[in-house]
Amino acid sequence: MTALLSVRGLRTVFPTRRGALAACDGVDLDIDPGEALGVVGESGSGKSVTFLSVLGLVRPPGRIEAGEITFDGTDIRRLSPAALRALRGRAMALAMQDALSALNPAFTIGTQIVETILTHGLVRSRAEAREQAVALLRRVGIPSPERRLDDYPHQFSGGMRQRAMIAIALAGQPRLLVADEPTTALDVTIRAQVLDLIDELREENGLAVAMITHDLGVVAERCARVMVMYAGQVVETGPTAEVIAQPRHPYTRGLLASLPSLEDPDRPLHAIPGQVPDLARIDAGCRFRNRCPLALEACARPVALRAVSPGRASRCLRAEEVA
Amino acid sequence: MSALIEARGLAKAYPLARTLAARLTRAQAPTVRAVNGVDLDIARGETLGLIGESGCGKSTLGRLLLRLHNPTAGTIRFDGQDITALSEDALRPLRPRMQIVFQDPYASLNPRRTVREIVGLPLALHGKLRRAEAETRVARMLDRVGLARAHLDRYPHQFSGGQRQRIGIARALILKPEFVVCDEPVSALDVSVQAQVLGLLRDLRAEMGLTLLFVSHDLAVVAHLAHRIAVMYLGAIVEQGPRDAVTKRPAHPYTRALLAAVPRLDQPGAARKRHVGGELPSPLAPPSGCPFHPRCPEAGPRCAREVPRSVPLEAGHRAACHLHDGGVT
Amino acid sequence: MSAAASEDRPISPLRLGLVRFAANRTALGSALVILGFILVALAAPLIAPHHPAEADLFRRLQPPAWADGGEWSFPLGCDGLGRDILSRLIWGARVSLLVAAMVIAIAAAIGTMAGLAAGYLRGWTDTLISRLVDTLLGFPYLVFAIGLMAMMGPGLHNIVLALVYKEWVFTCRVVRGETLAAREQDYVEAARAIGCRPLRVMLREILPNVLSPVLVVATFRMAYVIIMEASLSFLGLGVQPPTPSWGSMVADGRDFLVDAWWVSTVPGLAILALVLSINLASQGLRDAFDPRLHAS
Repeated sequence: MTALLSVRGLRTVFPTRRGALAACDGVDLDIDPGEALGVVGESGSGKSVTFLSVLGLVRPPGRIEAGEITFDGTDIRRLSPAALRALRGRAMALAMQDALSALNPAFTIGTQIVETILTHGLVRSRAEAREQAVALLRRVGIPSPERRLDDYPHQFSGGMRQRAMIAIALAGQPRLLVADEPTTALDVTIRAQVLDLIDELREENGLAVAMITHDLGVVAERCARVMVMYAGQVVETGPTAEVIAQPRHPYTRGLLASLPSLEDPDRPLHAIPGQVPDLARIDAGCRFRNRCPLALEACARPVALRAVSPGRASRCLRAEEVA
Repeated sequence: MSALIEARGLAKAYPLARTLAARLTRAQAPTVRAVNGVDLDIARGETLGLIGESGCGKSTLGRLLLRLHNPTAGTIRFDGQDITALSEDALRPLRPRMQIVFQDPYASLNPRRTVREIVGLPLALHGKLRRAEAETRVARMLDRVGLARAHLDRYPHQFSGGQRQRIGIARALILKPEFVVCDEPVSALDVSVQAQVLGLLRDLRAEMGLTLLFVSHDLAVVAHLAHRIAVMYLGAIVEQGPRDAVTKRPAHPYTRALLAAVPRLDQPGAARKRHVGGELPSPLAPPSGCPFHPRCPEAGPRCAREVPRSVPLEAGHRAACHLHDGGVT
Repeated sequence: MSAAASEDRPISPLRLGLVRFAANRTALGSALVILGFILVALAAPLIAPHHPAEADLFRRLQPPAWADGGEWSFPLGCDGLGRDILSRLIWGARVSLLVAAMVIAIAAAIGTMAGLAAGYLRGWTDTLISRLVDTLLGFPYLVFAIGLMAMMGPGLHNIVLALVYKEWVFTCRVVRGETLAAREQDYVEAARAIGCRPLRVMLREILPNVLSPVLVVATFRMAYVIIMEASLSFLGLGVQPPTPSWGSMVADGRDFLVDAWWVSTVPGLAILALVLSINLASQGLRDAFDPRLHAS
């Protein structure tokens, strides 16, 4: 099955006073139709920038310096800004973390959904668009959708706002939903509801989902495959269950060892020593080596992402020894 | 041995602004009950984990216990002494014994003060030490939390989130308090940094024999540090007990819902569990009877009529639910 | 974002702001112009070619040096009484800058204290101060000042007083707003948790954080005060002759606007230049120190 989204060698750079900063550097990824890919990383890992680049939302002075991005067979880096804009929202949609700032507070939710539907030319009249908007709100589980269509974002609770944002994202009937920490700001019980919703939508419409999060638990439950990012690079990929049971990169292992577990609360936590390197001052070698218990001299040279078993890749020279 | 902290019937209600008409007719001001009749004990040396979602009142409760807010009802005893109505001046000598660590590492340090001044402020107010001695103590405290002497003259913006949180911890502990309220101390930190700070708290707790109230929405984090857990919903404690009892044998439907909603690493791709629906009700219009009943899968007619009282289950484990008090009909 | 801690030397927020300010060329240029004015004013006794009150009726309304009938020893011409305009301009700078500096300094001090008290203590203190602020704001500035000057009589100290009466209100409003925001911050609550008394919290914790906006407001208002002083002097209510003030110099030239335009225009341009520089510099200050634009 050919991938819906395919990225090779993506490098996005932001100029800063201290030098050019490659927020994501040499990222490769594939997402198949209807698949849920978990993208895990902490601050500065480049997980958001990667997908903002795919969606063409990187603002100058940041820019994509290199890489191929193929969506549904089309090389989208060659598209004009207008064509990319049409693609975005129609075939690829974004649901962000903070719905309160992502939604325009000056317009009703209904207006924002209807505008999206009309912009993408999916219906013939405003009345039809409104009908679709109601159906969307109902689908995402917002009660009394006809009435709530005319409410403003601040009149919704956090969970409802997030659902509304997903409704807007779905208005264009996209094939790929990029969900950037969509539930981080929500309470645990509401989070579960919203994640359930995304799962249902995925199953119903064959929607592919890129779930960007720092929460390995969310990925463990909802995403069949996972991609771990650190300091702008992909360090490990593979089926989620396997990666968690047997990580093949010291960072992944360190991350798993540092998470408190509800099932085994007395398990001592092993914090990863040190800090994330300053992206403006890194060299070509492995970016994790100054915090890595397995580091060798060879790690000071560039390390490539390599396959360690079918479907699994790791950017570690000693991947086999990790777990 | 009596508890270090004892709260009975603690409540905090915020009156809302009334319209002029309402004021003229002396109508009752609508109130938001942030904390609604809480009883709790924290024994010396114990860590009580306080869990709940946003708006449940857990942060307010923590601040009430420190008398940073004033309760509108109920009593608080600290080491046997009733501190409910003490004036600020009378409280001042007690302050060194009870401190707080804040959630937001970016807002909890004065951006215009150096680390030396921030961590040294408690000493300057209470310590009566000479300058050289105070400086040594500050340096030693910084060392204890994993920062260097060179950091003394730097400003907060020169540090990462995890380091700022360490500075906040140093400030809270420099006077060697007995009781510390930790208000979501790791929620704003990256996952790998969380573990570092949690480890630090654990070590310091053991070293200094601290009594902690650990407030968080993250069950796994709380379970790691707490001896006992209390679960809050809409201003009331719905369940409390020893950690294992609450996490492995939850008695209240809300606790069960919370536990079910926590994603688990050891069951990847688990079949979707039935999650509790609905939203947190507005504190302005709390449900009648049991505050959880509109969302509760086990609710019955009695739950809308009667507020459940806290019933003992096993040793030290209590829940406020009609299921354990004669049934829901 | 979680970047590695800075390995640099301690960098206070003040220094950061100053560095940003210096990087802004417009702002830096304006600041230098203002500095130029200050130096000229300070050096008046040394650099003014003539005594500002020295009248020579033979030179009455002498044009500037580049026009017909002008001389280079009186570069900007002479006024209706034959006094050298350049010298009067230089000496007049003293009045403008001195009045502005005194008014702003006193108003900022009073306004900051009042704003801190109103914002932090709330309750009756806030109600009283806010009502006072609202009342004073209701009076039109110039009319108010004229009224006060009429009551108190002319003179430098009286101008300062008349202007301070209303000027403190602007600083007070800004400081009150900032204090209201700052008091909700965790670090203020931390100070209370440690047992700081309210006065200490206000002065130690909140004051350093509201000083940047005060600085910005102060420089921005300075331009206004200079114009107010010029207006009062223009109306004859300011410093009395023969002490030159740019405002009174503009007034002196009222009767000769067509024939001897330089008498009014030159001091008018000086006012313009100074006020413009101050506005540009204060904008630069705001950009440099505004925490919202430069969250670290």
